[in-house]
Amino acid sequence: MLNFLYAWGAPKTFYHYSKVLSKGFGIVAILALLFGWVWGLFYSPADYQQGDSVRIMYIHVPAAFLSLSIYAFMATCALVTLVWRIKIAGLLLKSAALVGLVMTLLALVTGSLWGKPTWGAWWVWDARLTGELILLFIYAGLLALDNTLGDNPASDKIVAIICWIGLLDLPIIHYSVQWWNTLHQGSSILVMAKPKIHASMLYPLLCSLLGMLCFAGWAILSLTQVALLKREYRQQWVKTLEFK
Amino acid sequence: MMCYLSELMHSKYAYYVGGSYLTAAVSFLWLFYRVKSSQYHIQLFLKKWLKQPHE
Repeated sequence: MLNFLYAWGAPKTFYHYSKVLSKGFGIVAILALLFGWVWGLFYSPADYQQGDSVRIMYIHVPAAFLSLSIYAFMATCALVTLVWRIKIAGLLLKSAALVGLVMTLLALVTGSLWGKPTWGAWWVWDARLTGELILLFIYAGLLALDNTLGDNPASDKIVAIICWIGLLDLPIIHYSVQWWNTLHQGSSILVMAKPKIHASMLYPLLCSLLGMLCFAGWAILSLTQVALLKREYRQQWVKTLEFK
Repeated sequence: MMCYLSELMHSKYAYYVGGSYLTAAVSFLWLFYRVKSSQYHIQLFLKKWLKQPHE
């Protein structure tokens, strides 16, 4: 496992593999997003209570899921940076922060747009919503810290430590609907249980989720490649690259 | 599809649904632009850097 991490984490190897992987992510993202959004907007049924406003779900749920997943991914990268000192992990962490920020902002805005017709309010100080807002500030804080410290291996470690402190917010967001009596509904899709929504809504949702996941993957890998080239431009392997 | 679109546009939730999809599209396009512009700038820098003589 460690050998695999060190081999895959070598800058030159990572650059070449991630180029291929990001292209694949990009193609799947375009297809799945087009398919999922058109399906969700025009062909999935309206909800018997919420009417057409339920179509916001095809953006809100994947964005909220990604806002948490990207942070979990960042925490894993932080662990790899701090324990095994693989520099690619530090760069992946920083690139993922921007994508995570966009996803969290999207989840909050679409949540607000969904909240107004269903709850009658744009915003409530509910545990889930407040937790998500704190996550947005954590993402913004990590990006600000990275910009302040500049691009160097020492800043990777500091950002990684702060990232681990912010990890406390994740279980609070996830379990908030179980721990407290909140306005936000509980999870409709669980890994270990049968989904609570009908297949006619579940499939476009999964399609949209796949598209947004691949888009996030494409963006993270592409930003990491740029960050890697910025840091390694004096190295011999960069000189052998061809730029069109 | 046009029939569904027309039905959706006349729904009382049209602005909320449209606003959500528009926000998502703008966010994704911004992220796409951000990635592509950073790729363009690093390639421009590297082309100049690699042309310079190095010891």
